[in-house]
Amino acid sequence: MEHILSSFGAVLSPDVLPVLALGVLLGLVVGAVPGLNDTITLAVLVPVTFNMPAQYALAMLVGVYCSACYGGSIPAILLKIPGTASSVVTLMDGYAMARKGQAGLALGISTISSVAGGLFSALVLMFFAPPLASYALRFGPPEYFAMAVLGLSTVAGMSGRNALRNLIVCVLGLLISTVGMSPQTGFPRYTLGFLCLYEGVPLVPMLIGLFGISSVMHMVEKQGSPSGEAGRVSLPSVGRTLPSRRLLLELAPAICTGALVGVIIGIIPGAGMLMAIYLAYDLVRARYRGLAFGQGVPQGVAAPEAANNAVVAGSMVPLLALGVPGNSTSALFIGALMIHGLRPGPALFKDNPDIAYFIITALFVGNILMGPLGLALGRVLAKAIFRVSTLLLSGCIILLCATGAYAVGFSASYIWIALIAGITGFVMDKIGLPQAPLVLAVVLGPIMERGFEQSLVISKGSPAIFLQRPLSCAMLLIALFFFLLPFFSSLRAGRRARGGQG
Amino acid sequence: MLNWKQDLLLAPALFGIAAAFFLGGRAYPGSSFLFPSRLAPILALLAILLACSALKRRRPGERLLPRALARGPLLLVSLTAVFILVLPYVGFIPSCFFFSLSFYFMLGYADKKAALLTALCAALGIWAVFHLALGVALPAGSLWAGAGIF
Repeated sequence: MEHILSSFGAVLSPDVLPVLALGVLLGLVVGAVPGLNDTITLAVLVPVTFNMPAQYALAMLVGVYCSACYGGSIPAILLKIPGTASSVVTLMDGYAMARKGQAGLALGISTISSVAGGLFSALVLMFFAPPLASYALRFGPPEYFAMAVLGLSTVAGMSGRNALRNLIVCVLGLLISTVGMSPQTGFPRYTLGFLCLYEGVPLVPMLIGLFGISSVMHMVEKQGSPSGEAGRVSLPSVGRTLPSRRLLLELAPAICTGALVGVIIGIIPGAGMLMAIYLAYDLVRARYRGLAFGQGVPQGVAAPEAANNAVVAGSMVPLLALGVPGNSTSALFIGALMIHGLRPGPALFKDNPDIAYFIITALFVGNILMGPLGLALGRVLAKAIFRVSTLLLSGCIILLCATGAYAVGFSASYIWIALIAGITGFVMDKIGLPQAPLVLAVVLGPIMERGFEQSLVISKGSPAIFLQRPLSCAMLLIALFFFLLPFFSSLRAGRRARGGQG
Repeated sequence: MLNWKQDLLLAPALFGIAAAFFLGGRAYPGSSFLFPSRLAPILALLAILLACSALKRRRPGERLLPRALARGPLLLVSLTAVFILVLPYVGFIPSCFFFSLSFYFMLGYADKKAALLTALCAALGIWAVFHLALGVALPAGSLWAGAGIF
């Protein structure tokens, strides 16, 4: 409690609060620009924060992360263009409400739901992450290995019919993570003589490339369709924004469902934002069968918006407590923490509790700031953003990406790494290979390798050690369940199809 | 819908990567090769499974690549590569300026004045943020070293 109170003092201090507000504002803007999102922005911002004090840096990054999802809902509601992937579901009922003359109400519901979802998940993070981290301090090498396997297994298990592709990307990511010095012997591996690879493929330039440069490549690919559509886009009249108390009470179950789904999905590494919003929407649709979803139902805006913002702090639970990122965006926080000499994971609560609680509190306060800022600036943002040319914007983003990558190691070779990662990300998108498992595997690879090798040293080479330790054995069994889940699902689908034909 | 031809091409590429990691790491001493030696065969096996699944999904008439060639991304990659190569010699501000200008003109941005202004503002703005505000040492350019510029 003492840490929580002192972190509130730090976040609300007159020098940190404006930085957090700036981050929230930046998140709203990038969220509202189609093609940009929190991952790209954080990838570019992490090196920018290199020379900042850790608290300013983390406040800005947290601000962007917590508001970008919500920012995406603004153009989704007003213009039927989702600013980020997380607002594709909001678009259905949000835009329908706008067409019925309830644009302001849709924005208001989206704001309140986002804030509620964000606050709920920040509370879960505040009270769930520290005990989990203190428990994780008792983990030995077999448990760390099993935890990494479990983290990767959820990616494969939650991917449905894409399980094989996700598994391939996971193993590829693990192999990439072996580039650099061996954690046991210190011998450099697969470096091809490049000095910048001795400590492994640098995470931040890799993420800048995978998410920043590859997105710009997609933006210039669609260059034929002009983005400067402001002249042709007409914004609907916004009108009243705040919903009545009665409507709020009616929406409460949808918001709670969305928030709960978002937190749970957020905690599962690799499960992803899209799964959370679709699941929340489906659950609410099942609950309110009588309502015409897709034709402007407020619950259809409330549930996905609460879910996508709840994913944000949810994804920070495994990151702060175990050092395992919940998604690729939260993986960037690993880079940010490492740049400032901090080690993410259970030791963070022990060695740097001020920083760990600062992040949690900043998420809480950031969500509160998001409400008034979003309500005040929503319409202005939507109008302004569609006056900006995508081409002019993409030129600036690529320069920011290149400079950000350079700033990580003060060498042009880091820009090469970002460029290669960018091309890889673009090609992966084209051939339907997901990028999130790659990032997760690259981050978890060293944890897994260290755990694997140290366990074998302890057991004198016997792999039975992973099954002899109860926690490790339990985690591996759950991982096995997740690995087998897609096969059971396809078997069941096949049986159902045969039943249908019969 | 996943393209079976792409998968059929991807499978040997993945197999090649697995082989490269396996063969390239065999000479490493001690336990340095232990972890990659377990992963590379798994990747090879998954590559074979991908090839089998691609063959199972085989359908006539599916194209390997989309009809339109990605001119924009190719141009972007080439320009970035040139940018990285000239950066240490020409310096940060001129490299950024010429990179953005060529990028806008080559991709056919119509408003030349806006392109010029954006290129200049982007180069100076990013330099100011990273170098002046954050103290990041950006390349001044060996070409200008003797001239005392930058």
